[in-house]
Amino acid sequence: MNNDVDKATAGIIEQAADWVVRLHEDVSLPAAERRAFLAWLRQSPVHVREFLQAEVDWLALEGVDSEHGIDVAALLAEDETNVVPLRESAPAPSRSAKRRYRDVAGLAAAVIVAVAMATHFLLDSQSTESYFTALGEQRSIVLPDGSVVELNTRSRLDVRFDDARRDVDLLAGEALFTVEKDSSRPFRVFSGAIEVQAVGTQFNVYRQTEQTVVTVLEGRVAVRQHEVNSTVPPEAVELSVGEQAVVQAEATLRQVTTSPSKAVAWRQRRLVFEDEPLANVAAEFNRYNSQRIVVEGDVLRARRINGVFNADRPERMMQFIMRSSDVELVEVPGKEWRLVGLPSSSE
Amino acid sequence: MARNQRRWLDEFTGEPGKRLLRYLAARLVDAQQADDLAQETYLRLLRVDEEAVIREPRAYALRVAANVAHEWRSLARNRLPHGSDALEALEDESSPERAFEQRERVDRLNRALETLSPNCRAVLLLHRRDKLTREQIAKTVGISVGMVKKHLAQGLAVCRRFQSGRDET
Repeated sequence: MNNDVDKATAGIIEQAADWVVRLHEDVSLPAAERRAFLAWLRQSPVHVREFLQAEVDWLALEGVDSEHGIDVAALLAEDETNVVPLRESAPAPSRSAKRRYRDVAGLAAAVIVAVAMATHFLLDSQSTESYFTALGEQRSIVLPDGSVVELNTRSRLDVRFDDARRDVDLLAGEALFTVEKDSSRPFRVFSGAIEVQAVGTQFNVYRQTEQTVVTVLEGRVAVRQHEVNSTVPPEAVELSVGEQAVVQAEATLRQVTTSPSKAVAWRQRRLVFEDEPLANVAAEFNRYNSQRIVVEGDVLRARRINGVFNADRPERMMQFIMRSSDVELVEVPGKEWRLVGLPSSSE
Repeated sequence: MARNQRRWLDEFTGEPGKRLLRYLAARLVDAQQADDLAQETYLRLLRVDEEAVIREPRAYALRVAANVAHEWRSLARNRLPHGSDALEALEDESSPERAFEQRERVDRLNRALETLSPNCRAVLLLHRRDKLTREQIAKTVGISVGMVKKHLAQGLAVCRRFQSGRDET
């Protein structure tokens, strides 16, 4: 229930999964690693519980998709073509496809053939790594070139590196990039049709529903907005430290100056608002917490908020709002807080 | 003693090991029961001498957990706790309830799989469903063995997180 506990548990779940995969390798672990595992296990009952659960699930996973309805080759092809929606459902193969599958004598052999075909088909394309974070989760990832990505809550990132390029797709959410210099391979981040290119620099990209916000913390980046049916390469807008570009589809890029520390306050799980409408403030909190804040009434939604809050403590913000007498708070525990503007607040 | 210990540690690999893990699985369905079991296992792991555990820490921890579960079950039946060699008794535990719980767990995992990225899901299926080795997967998919391991760990973590979110409601 408690958010802090949830986040701690999420970390332990990840570590437990790591250990279980390592413990199930064919060769036994070196002594130092076995000691490290025991030390890890002895940290708390939660560690023990998550280890046991992970072991049990690891075994139970042998029983998934027992009808072999999921076509692995199709899955791999799907990932490579890079048009993966955020939450895709399993492809439903036709009956005949299923039957054909079953008719093949050795199933593992069939899968190898299918995968070999898929990989042959896609031999010249890059391999994609996907990373994502759950609600309220933050994690940092070291990429193969040494660049570091810090991923904010509810984000998804696909990484495609090869000899010529370092391409990253921000499919949802927000990420801070600290890029290693490599003049032979440009580092590019795509947020939909928006391309951000950097060489040895640090910048933040926040993909929102309507727009993408790029903020530079160090060095310079070039931002390009690609158009769907255009063959002409788009012109680049250069940003330097403290500059921010707000890019919307079908609109010209808006360039503003900002405080870099504000743009990346999320790393300390801080939310900084300067003259921000309450509706946006609620949306920001809702990125981190499962109990959502709903603001009702246009006047209240537009009310301007200034302040710094902890992303995990929406109650503090609510107390702040409740200091004015024209707001009513209705809580549906575990689900939402509804902030309602009382009649006196509307004109 | 050493040979005896060796024997029961081996039980956590291969078919007998799977049977014991399924026995444990039944004790981990209920959140409160799982917490109690983990708590007692944790306390016992703190008490053992590191050198005694270090050759097979995984098997040792699983064995301790199975012992705790077994002792509690025996106590609940108003019998004296069994010694550590009474594991045969666990093996006739194939009740309809357990089969049902096992199916439920697999169902949840099937749903959790749908939330994985295609690549990650493919690697997990190739390894767990199709029994390919990590090396075979690396070769067929065209990624490094290290990447295969990463996919496996990430996939398992998502499956776990998917269920622990559900347990708390």
